[in-house]
Amino acid sequence: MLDNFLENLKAFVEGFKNQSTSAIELQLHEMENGFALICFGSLMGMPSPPSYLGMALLPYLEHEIKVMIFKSERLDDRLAEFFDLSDI
Amino acid sequence: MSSTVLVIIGLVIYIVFYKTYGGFLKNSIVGSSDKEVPSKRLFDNVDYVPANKYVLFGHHFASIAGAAPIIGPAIALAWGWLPAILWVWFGNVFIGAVHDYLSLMSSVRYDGHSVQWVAGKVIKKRTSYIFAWFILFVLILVVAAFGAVLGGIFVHKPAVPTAYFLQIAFALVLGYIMYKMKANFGVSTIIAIIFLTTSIIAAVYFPFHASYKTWMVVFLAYIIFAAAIPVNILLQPRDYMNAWLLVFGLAIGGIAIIFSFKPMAIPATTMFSAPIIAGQATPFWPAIPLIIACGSLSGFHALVASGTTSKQLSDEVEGLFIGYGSMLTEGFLSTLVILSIGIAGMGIVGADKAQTLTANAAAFGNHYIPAMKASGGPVGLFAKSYATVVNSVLGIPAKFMVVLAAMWVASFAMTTLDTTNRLARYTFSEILEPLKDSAKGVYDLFTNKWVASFIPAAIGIGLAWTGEWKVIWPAFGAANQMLASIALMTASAWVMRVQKKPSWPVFIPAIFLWVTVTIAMIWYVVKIIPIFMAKSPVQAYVLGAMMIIMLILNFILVYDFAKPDKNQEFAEDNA
Repeated sequence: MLDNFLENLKAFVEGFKNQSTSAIELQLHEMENGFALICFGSLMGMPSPPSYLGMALLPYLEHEIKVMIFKSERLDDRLAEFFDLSDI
Repeated sequence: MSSTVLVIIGLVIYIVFYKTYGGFLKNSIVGSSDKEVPSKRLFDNVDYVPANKYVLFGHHFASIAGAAPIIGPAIALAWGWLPAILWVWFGNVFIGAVHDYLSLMSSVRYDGHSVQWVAGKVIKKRTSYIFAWFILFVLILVVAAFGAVLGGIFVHKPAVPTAYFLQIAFALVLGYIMYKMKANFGVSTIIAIIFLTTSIIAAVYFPFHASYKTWMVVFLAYIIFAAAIPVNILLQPRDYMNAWLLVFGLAIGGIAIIFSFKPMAIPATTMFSAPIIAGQATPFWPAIPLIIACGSLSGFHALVASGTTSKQLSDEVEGLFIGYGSMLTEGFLSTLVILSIGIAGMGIVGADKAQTLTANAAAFGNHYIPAMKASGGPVGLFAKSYATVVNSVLGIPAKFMVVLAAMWVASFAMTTLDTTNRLARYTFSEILEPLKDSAKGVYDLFTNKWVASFIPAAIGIGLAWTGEWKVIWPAFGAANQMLASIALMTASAWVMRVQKKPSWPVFIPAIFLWVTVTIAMIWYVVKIIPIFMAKSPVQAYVLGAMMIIMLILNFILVYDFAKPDKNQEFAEDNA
């Protein structure tokens, strides 16, 4: 029982750690979005010179492209995600 | 009554209602769904990731717990400790926790969409837009309220700014250690705790004196420049240290108060209309939700619940523990605030004032707010009371504990100040969306990173410039509670129109809150704004205009709630 309690307490503290890294995760996501735009901007009509680079990376970025398309459907609903950072 | 008995009563209420009322909400209102939770169905390993329920509880609680559940209850004690504690307990159980839980679950059923988006779906499209306006006003008022309260404590207790700025300096070093030197988690944590302790001890010996207005200028500069610094350099290490401050603060304070066995030294009740807001007779109803915001219920929580938590919930049955349970934990934090001031506050305000305050209940009601102001405002009084209780039970020197408690509040308030501009940027783009095609220049100007950061920060600090936290805090409370009312109406519309279940557990609190806050806002505009106008006309006009716009939006909102669009598709399948 004590082990179980300590395990749960550890998970609770892990949650605190996750919350304090949410700002950095958000920034990482924004950088990933930027990277995806650089590589695949041409897919949505944005002039993107290194499209050959994008094509070369394509097989490795399948998951990122799926996430990008899914995210693009939810672009009208981003506000609440940022409230995670607010600490009120 | 002994504080220990009150802590136990509070815990019993929370556990009993969690099991009974929470269980009822889970089984009879939310029910179960055939669909898998979004974290599994839409798993993308980025936003949608199933999390362990304790990890998610920690994350959610750390996001919703900040400075507000400490400040509000400290002010509300002017009505006596009993009304304040009852509002925290029962406001929590019947309104705040229901609000958080239902916001979370409606979001889960709508693929992890935000409560703002769900409002557009289950009420009317424009409800989502009204939501964005309320968010913007809350953001401005939160800067004003936290700025004013923080300015007060920084002037009154000059060790606190030293501790805070040392913490920032240490955060930069910690960021370097964590990200450049790649120190592991355990080492970083030990270093973070050493840094925190050092900043508190050093601050006691090196106080930093500056005037209130100087601090306002510093806050404004800080808010704007914090946005320009990469998050891994400052914000993330600082937030990590804050998380430990919260854990320590709660654990040490909780243990000290539980084992203090001290009687409450302040009256249980004082008067129905104690002079609180701007020194005017402030009726307990409808003004209480304006004073105790986050400790009892808060609209911001709906956004946190539906922003990240709903995308990480790994099983619907865990929603109650995370949504309902973490709000009750925050209520417990407010309970500790009420009790620590209740048992130790009179030893803080000075012998003369304590004698006047404790002469009789009416005297306490009449003189509590000025006495609190002389002790450094709500944060000052709380920090000193907390330090006294911890000192008497655990023997830790009070002079360090005062700085720890004040820094606990200050750090969270500062986090809120510097994230506000990030949030404001997104809110602005939402609000200005209709202008995107018709007035592209205006749209581009206001959605510019620096302009969108500067406007709410400048208006907020401009309002705080007066130092009148007694006037500004309730305005923040009003906007935040109205946001909660919209979130509850959204949840109620979801239960009625989509779930087709009895909606009274959500509908009654939603309407109660709407009526209460609307009457309180009208009272505030009629009674408080003219008094504020005599003192600070510019600020009073800005505050008055914001309150009136919110009132108008408020009536549109309730009209839309009562008369939804007939052609609207409510079903979750259309999410």
